[in-house]
Amino acid sequence: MKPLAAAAVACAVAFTALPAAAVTYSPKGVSAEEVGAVLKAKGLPVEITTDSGGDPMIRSSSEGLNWLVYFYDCRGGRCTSIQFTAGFDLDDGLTYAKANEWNFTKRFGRAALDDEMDPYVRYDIDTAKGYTSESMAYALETWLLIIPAFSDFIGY
Amino acid sequence: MKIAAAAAAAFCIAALGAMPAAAVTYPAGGVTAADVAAALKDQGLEAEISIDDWGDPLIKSGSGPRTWHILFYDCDSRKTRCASYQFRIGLDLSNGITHARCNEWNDTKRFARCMLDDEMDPYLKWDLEAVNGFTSEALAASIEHWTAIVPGFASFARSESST
Repeated sequence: MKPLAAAAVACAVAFTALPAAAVTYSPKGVSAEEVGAVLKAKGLPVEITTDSGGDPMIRSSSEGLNWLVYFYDCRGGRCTSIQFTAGFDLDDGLTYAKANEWNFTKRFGRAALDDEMDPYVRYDIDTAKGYTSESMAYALETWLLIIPAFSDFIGY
Repeated sequence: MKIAAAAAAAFCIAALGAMPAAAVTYPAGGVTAADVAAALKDQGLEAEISIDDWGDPLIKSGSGPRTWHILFYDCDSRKTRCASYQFRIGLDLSNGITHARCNEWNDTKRFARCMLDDEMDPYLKWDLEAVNGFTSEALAASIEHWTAIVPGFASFARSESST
């Protein structure tokens, strides 16, 4: 027993270099529950549902703006990529030039216009092969900065 | 002490056995140009490291016939370790492409985005974060993904606009 206790101490010391709650997700990707847990840890609402293609989907919101997390390339409930997306219904839509200005000058969040010239901002993340809960939490932080910045940019 | 140390080592090795052998978690501050260059070389890609106009690292690489770059952002005070990086390729086309075509890419494709410069020449860029728990596996995956996206973008940009 004693050597094991020593081992536990040694490991605890070895692992203090790693943040306490860090998890490397399955190489098969993330589940909606795992992504939901990261959102909840930030105090965000999480409603897990299913999209029209049968993949998981999360509805959430921040600062009064609704947004979604789509899941892609899913198998057995694990998905190798996700997409944060927010759409904005504007009376007159946005110009291509303005959307391009966002894409040219900003680093995260891809702007696109739909058929009615209404803007969307999307942020895609690969979640297979070495993706960690820390990276997910950081990606969420970035997304939470993108939404208000995009909203301001388009004059929503 | 000897027994305890050996047992501790064995226990830790067993615990770490769950992780892929070569996986490395980079420091919280992100990646260096050398880290990224090594990952490129692992995939048989060139990596020429230089310095950009802002003093940050810059890597010139390419896949197939195309040259592209990796720019580094949010670097530490020594401009060595950087919290994010960006894959980027620009295509110099005689007539550029339309905003509608660039938007079509952005609306229908994932990950990397299209943008147009003053001459309507298209660029593809993809930004990634490398802080807090970023791993060598995730870096390698991003390179594989980027090299898969680039040929599709080049064809997309060169083909007639479908809009």
